[in-house]
Amino acid sequence: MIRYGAVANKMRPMNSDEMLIFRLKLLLIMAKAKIKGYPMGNHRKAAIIENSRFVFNEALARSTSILSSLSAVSNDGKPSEGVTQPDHLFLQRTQLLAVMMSAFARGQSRGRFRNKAMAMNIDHICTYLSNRFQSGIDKFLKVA
Amino acid sequence: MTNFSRSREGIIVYNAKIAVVDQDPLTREFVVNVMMYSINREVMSFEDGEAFEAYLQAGGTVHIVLSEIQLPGKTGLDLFERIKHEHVGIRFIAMSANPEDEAAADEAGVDAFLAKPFALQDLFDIVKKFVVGE
Repeated sequence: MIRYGAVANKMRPMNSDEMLIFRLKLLLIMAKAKIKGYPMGNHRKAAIIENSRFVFNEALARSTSILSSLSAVSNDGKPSEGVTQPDHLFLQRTQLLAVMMSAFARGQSRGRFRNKAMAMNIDHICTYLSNRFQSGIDKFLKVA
Repeated sequence: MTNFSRSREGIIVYNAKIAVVDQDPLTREFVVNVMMYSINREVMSFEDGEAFEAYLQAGGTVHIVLSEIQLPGKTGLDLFERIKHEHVGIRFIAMSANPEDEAAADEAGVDAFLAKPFALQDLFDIVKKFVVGE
């Protein structure tokens, strides 16, 4: 028997925060494959549209919570702690990537500059993720 | 027609038909999405073992099954026991979040065990092993 996944003492059910990160990673792979010109069959297009929908909705839900958190001000006039402007921008860029990929999969978006815009967006998302994974990405995910 | 072909590395399944059985829609739809994108084929999705068995009894075919062990009604391992004799070629990958299920899965003789939480790379590795044959 071949074994995959978590080690035995770390096994547990998967939660929606993990699912957003997994699906965002998948969307990044889908986007890179699209930019590199790998073939997109009908089922791949359907998978991209479905994944984009999930990522967009989850990022939007978290983004709404973060926005209210960012606008909340504590008694000393400083923004409330917990989430930051980069967290908010990350979720906006994530939604943008989902919209871009959905449009590509539906054949509604073509062109070199759109590819370039998507590549830049991917770079920003990856930079944020690599920084966040070093410092702990769970802060903004805990905002429900 | 069964589309199996043996390569030097292992089994390659052309036009692989994959079924995912899991009562948790979040996980099930994620696995379906990854598989559908990876193989560019429709991937079947079932909430429980009864629905999957009904599909097989109606003449449906499948080459690779990814099934949660903890299912409502019959467990994933019950499902494996019932289908392994009638559908010899099926590759069965058991999934679970419970570490106690691993030994039972090994004893039952499933092809692979996918422990939750798993990573995207684990699903790609499963495609490489059971579909591409690497």
